[in-house]
Amino acid sequence: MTILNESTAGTAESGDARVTVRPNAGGGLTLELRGPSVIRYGDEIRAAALSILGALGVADAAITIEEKGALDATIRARLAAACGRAAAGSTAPAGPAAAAAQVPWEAMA
Amino acid sequence: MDEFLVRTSIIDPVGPDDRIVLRSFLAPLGLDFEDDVELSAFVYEGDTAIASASLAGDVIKCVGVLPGREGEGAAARAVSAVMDEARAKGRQKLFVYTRPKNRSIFESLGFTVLAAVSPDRSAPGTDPEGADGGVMLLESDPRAFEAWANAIRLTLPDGKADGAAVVNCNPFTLGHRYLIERAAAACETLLVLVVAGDRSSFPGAVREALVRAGTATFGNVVVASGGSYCVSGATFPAYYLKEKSQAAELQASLDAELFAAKIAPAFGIHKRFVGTEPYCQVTAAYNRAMAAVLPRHGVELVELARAESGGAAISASAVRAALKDGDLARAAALVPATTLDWLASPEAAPIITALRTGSGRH
Amino acid sequence: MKLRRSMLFVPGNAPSMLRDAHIYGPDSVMFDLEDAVSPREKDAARHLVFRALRDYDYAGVERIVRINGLDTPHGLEDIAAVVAGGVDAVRLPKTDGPNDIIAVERAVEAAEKRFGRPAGSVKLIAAIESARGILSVREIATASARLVAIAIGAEDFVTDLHTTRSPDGVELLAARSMIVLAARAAGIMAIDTVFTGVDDPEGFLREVRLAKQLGFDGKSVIHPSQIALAHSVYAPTPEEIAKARRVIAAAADAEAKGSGVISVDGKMIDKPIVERAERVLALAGEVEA
Repeated sequence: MTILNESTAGTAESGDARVTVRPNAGGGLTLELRGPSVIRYGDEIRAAALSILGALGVADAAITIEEKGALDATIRARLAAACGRAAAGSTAPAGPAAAAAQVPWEAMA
Repeated sequence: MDEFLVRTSIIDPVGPDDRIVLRSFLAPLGLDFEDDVELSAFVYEGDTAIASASLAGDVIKCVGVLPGREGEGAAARAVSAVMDEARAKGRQKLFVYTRPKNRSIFESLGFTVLAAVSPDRSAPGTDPEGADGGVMLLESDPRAFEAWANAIRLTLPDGKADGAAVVNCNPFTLGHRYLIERAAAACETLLVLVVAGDRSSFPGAVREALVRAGTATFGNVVVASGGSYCVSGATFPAYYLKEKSQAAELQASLDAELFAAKIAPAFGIHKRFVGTEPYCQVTAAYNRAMAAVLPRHGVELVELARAESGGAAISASAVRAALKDGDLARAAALVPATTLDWLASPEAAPIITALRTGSGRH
Repeated sequence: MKLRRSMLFVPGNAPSMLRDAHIYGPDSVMFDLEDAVSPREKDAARHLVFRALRDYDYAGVERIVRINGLDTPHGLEDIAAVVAGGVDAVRLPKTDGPNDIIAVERAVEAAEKRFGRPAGSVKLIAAIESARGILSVREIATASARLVAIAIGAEDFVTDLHTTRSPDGVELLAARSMIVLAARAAGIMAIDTVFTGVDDPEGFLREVRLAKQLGFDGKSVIHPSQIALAHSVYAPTPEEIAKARRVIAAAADAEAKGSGVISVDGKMIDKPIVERAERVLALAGEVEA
């Protein structure tokens, strides 16, 4: 999956995470974590994020995760959604239909 | 809030019936509703509206929560919904004017404070958490200000300007050129910030271009757009019912605070130049606010007498009046050749037509 | 016997609610990807529901997902995501005829193959929300072996009828009865529509009692407070339980003796009575647990 646009998914509500994915051509993966759980669970959050990125085949991206006590499942879901939106091949805010066509559910299982 | 009962509804676009609903929600909260609002969000619990937020351009405003329902995240949810709608429209950088007491709501949504004034105008900025009155300006992208400043620094010698002027120039006149010439003579490098936005008769891009053209021969003048950081009367919301009469003063203080505390240090500005203002009350109030605020931050306010033509100060409004009357010759006497060239160009035609048929003061 | 006395609607775009919905004790949770989710968030909600199905333990509560119809850009991907996630049942909205069921079944079958789930493991529930659907309810109820229940969606239905919902629900009488008739004829369950008056428990109870009297097996609920109320209506009385126990005992007795005749309190009872007794004890079993 190639990241083409900047996209976000998620909200700032308690229990959720806002994930922003930006292109980083040739720059590999950078991961910035922010939120109340990061101090204690930063490693788990990072691992969850990397597993999703691996499953989706995202190699070059700048990821920012701002969480508010989100569980791993939520972080994975928000990250996968943001990647899907960021990979949709258009400059306008990527629509859900375009984003959906590329989801490898089995890889993320 | 009971999550099973909460829903958020978006009103886009805001129609006449919606305005009535919004006004009646906001009025008991001491807030007015502004006509430039494009879309609004309501948070309902069951059938009761408990919070609302609205958007005008890239400014979030009219944020209110039912008394007794504060602290539940309802306002944040309404603002968040508005932010999502704004982003979907491609507006990534958002601003919000709000009471200082709402600071934590917006900071939790990722906003950072740009400037704040308390209702005690004799000491603006010293009590930014002023209980109920006062106003605070926040922006959604913490890197945006630095990015704006960086881009301008690249055009300044050594990234610095010791003098600055903030102008609207609607359009650029001989009076403006006179002020800028005198200001430029009083400092090493003069940064001229043009107030952005298209609410004036002449759109922002045009105004900026005319300022550049009219000052091109001055060796130490750099022109840039004020972006969202020079608060104009058009962007500042005057929707605090109680303080409506004070709205102009609040706006001026906030703009002065933003300039003195953030913009001036970003470029090393020590002097801000303004023209004396004999006609416009709002501008006069501005100058008063700046005279109070700037020295506190080590910035000198320098008032320059405006140029006169036939005993009257040369003003952009006089130019607009002449254009409205179809009297290009009268307008020509008040503007430099660069502005006149543009006024005579095809690009200017629709704007002049709008001036002739419209009735706006600006 | 699977109980579906209460089916709790949960918006598919609310992470915390997806995580916790089952703790309120409903018989089923229904994650909604359709009306609860704005078009712009359909993709994100699909991911949330997928992950919830994969990662969370719902302690045996049945997990249903209401997908978007196949006539939308979202339906097909919804099916892929939830089947991959391990959903128990897919709920189709706005079922107008048997072809709607068949189309979904085909997509579900393909998804089961693609994701390695046992063929036939994903069940279907059809919501009927239009006059046309009600008039085709017999064909709908028998359109697929995967179909375990049919439901009525009253809000859209009354709009289709050019009327509104009333407290006594007279406008829904025919539709409700037809749902029950078709469900019984097909040997599947009938689920009643949501009651939106969350502040009106009395009204909710009246409606559940009506539904139960009509023969419905359960009700869709939109708030946890409605779960216990619904279960209380379906809870058998001690007398009913005692009678049911006697019936079951008599049936077991007859079987042990190799006799085809079952007799309780001197009366002969036949198969439907035994089945009813089994249902009563199943309902009682849940209550007692």
